[in-house]
This record gives sequence, structure tokens and C-alpha cells, in this order.
Amino acid sequence: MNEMIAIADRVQAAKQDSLAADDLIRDYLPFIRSETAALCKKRPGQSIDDELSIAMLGFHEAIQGYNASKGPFLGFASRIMKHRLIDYFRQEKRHYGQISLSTPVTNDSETTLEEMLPDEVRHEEVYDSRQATKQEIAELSNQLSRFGLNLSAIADNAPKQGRTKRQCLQALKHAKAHPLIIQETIRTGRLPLTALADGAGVEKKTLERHRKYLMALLVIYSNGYEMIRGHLKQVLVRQTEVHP
Amino acid sequence: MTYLVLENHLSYSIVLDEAGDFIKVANMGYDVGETLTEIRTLKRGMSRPFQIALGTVAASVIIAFVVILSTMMTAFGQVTLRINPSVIIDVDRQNTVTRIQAGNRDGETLLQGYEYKDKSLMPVIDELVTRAIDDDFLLPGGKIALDLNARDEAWLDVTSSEISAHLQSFMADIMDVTIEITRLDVGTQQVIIPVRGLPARPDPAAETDSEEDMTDYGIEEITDSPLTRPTVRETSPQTPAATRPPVTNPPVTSPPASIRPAATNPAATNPPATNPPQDISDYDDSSFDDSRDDSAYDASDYDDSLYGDSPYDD
Repeated sequence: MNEMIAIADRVQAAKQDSLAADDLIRDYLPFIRSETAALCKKRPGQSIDDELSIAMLGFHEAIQGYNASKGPFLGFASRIMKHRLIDYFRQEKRHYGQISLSTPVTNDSETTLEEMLPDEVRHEEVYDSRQATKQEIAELSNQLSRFGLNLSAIADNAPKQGRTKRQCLQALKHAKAHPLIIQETIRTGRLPLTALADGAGVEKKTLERHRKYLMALLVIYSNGYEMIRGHLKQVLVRQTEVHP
Repeated sequence: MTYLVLENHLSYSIVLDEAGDFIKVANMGYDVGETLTEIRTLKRGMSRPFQIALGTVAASVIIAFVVILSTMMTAFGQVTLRINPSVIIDVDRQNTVTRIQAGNRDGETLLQGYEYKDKSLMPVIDELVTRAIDDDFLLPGGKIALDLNARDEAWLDVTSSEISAHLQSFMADIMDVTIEITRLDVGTQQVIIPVRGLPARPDPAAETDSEEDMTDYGIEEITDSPLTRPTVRETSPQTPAATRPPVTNPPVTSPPASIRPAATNPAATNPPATNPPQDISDYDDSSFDDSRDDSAYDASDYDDSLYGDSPYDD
């Protein structure tokens, strides 16, 4: 009984704190692995890495959606993981009859088909580019944490509906056209909601509801972060043109 | 669409898509900074089959609701009230009035400012008749005609009898009128109900005329005239007036064609055969003595030769 209460408390804490969620998942990794293996019906030694990743995502989803009044957490988590794995298996059915690039060339060989393909990618350039991106992302995380934000919270705060998202991007477009707004935001760490809402012609309440998300976008469009902006640039331009 | 991996957690990764969305996806062993082309997202909301099923159920409910609503809104029966103003009243299954339209200009006048919402048929008929009386559309001796139309025969049966009974009792205390109910489903079947209202003030002149009419020509002949005979006559034992000929039928001021020539015929001045024979013994008929010289009228003095060539065959 005490153990159930302890789990429920930990789940409650994990809902608010992504690190606490990671700790909880780490502690229950054997449970997640056994549930996955039981559903996959794979022989010992066969890899279940992909399935395990899906099951862990299901476990995380269970943490977010758990209600202590509706029963014990582990049973609920087991059901969610099972449903997500079934969805995964259904999606994977599309690839039946196709040979994986990870398949060995011969039964005795350790060389995979992927390694036999002609390599047209310049690995050094890819590595450099990824390192630069990694550095930018680390810098972004630091800057966001100075404003009391983290990427998990931003992902949870991102708009889900197309209309709301268009309004947020409209506000971003207005801020890009008025660099002072972005500078002021970075300097004070506060989002000028009234200026953005009035300038973009959108509802202030909508922007307020997605304050963390907007803050992250404004930080990305401040100085630096060219790699991340390069990833976003084309789509943002296209979207604001289509939905002025 | 490509996704940039921003952060890795044990159970999920956070990626940034090209459209500016931050998304939690399954961590399949990604590296931060890696660009993905395919992701497995955290489940949001319902599964696709469940959405389709739910959408189908919702659509069915909406369609059923619309069908029921349209059925309820469609007129179940129609009553056309004709006094002089003509008014068309639509009712639903519960006899609640759903719409009222004017059938002519007087109908528009009658309906001005009238509110029928959520009212039943009978009160609406009462109120419209009362309005017609107030506006002098309906006068004593007038006629209230009601045409009933509906697909449901049972409704027609019940409503026609209800309206006739209701209007009889309603008008009995107000004035003399004739109520004519016509069912349009069975052609021109009518129910004519003369209603005797409050006793009319005696009009000596009218009474004398009436007496004379009855004496001269006989009431039976008038009421049996095909012009005044109703198709179906409903008599009510509760209202003695109902057994009389319709009050509103205009008194026939000219005698039937078969009687009219008798008025100018000298023979018609003779006492009726039914009168008792008069005693004539006391009369002095000396002035009518046969000694009068009537030779001047002797038939022999007439020359009838002029008529010998008559073209008429007598």
C-alpha cells in the first residue's frame, strides 16, 4: 500500500518535472523491458530496442495522463504501453517483405547491407555541421533556462491547433519586422504581449496562453542560432505568406 | 518535413520541425543535432479508427436530430378559417400552432399584432373569432367556415368534432352564426351548425313579415329548397335552435315559381279548400238578381270567325 502511494507521489512529481520523470522511468526500466518482451514474443537475444523505445514513450505518456483516483499506476502504464506497441506493430506491417539495411550480407558475415552501399555522404562535413548545431542547441537551452524555461515545458506549451499556431507565427513575424521587440525581450526576459498582440492584430489571450512557446521562438530569432533558424526559415516564410 | 533533435530524455526526445513546432517523440537512440525524416510522436487524443467511429456516430445523431426537427416543424394539419378574413393555421402533432398566414387582405388586418407562439388550436380560433367580432368582420347571422386538411384521417375526425363542439359552446353566448366545417380529404363533406346565440331583440316588423311569409308560402317549401339544404346536417339535442332551419338563411322574399302565378290568377282569390264552408244564407244577394240584362254578353253576339284561321293548335 505504501509502495503504491509512493509511486503515485512520484508520478505526480514527474508530471511537473521532466528530470523526475526520467528518474522514475529509469527506476522502472526492468518493468518496462519485461512488459515489452512479453508483448513482442521475441526470442532471448533478439533486439527489442525499437520496441523498448516505444514502450518507454508509452510509460512517459502514462505519467502525463495518470489519475490516482482511477486505480494503480503500473496497471495503467502497462495498458498504455501495450496500446502503443500494438500501434507500432501495425505501422511496421507496411515494411513486411522488405529487407532491412541492417541485415547481414551473409549468415556468417557481420557486414550489413548498409555498409555495402556506395557512400556519397561527406561524413566530415556532416559531423562538423552536427557539432555546430549541437553547440547552438546547448546555447539555446542555457539561454532558455536563464528565463526559467526548458524544452520539455516549451513542447508542452506549443499550440496544437493550426489557427492558434498561425496567430503565434503572426506575432513572430511582427517581432521580426520590429527588432527592438526581440532585443527588449532578451534584455528583460519578459514577453511584450500587448505590443505583439496589437502589432500582429491577434488576441492577447491567445499569445498569453502560449507564452513559453513564443518566448522560445523570439530567442531563436535573436542574435545567433543561424543553424536552427536555417532549419525553420523557409517554412515560416511560406506559412506567414499563406496565412497573412 | 524534417525534424531537428534538440534534447534527449530517457523515454523521449524533443524535436523541432520546420514549421516551428516543438514535438515530443520516441527516443529511438537519436543524437542531439541530428536531423530526422520520420518520427514517432507521443499519442495525442484519439486513434484514427476511434475518431472515424465517433465522427460517424456524431453525424448519425445530427442527421436524426435534423430529421426529427424537420418532422416536428412540418405542419401536421392545416385549418383555414374563413369569415371574411381568411386565415391559414398550421398545427403540429400536438395541435400547437406552428404558423399562421393571412389568406387575404382582411386576414392580414385580423392578424396584425397577433401572437400565436406556443398556443393551441382552440384558443387561437377563439381569439381570432373574437378579433373578427371586435373588428366587425363577423356580425350576427354571419358564417364561420373552417376547412380542415391533413393526411391523418383520425386527426381530421377528432379535430372536426372538437372544433364544432367547441365553437358551438363558444358562440352560443355571443351571437347567432352558422359554423361550416369542411374536410378537404373527402371532397366537400360539410358540417353546418347553426348556433343560436343570445336571444335577439324582437323586431315587430320582421316578425309580421315572417308570419306573413309563413302563412303565404309555407316554411316547409322554403327549407326544402335545394339552395338551402345542407349536405350533412348535424343536430344537437342540447341546442333547440339547432333543430330549426338555419337562422342565417335569408328569408325567401319571392315565392317559388310554382306559386307565383297563383297570386295574379283571379281563381286564387277563392277561399282555400281547407277553409270551412261559409253560411251564406244571411247575405242579401238581391243586388245580384238574375233579372239583370246580360244579353249584351250573349255569346251569339261574338263573331269568332276571326279566330277560325288560328295557326295555333288548340
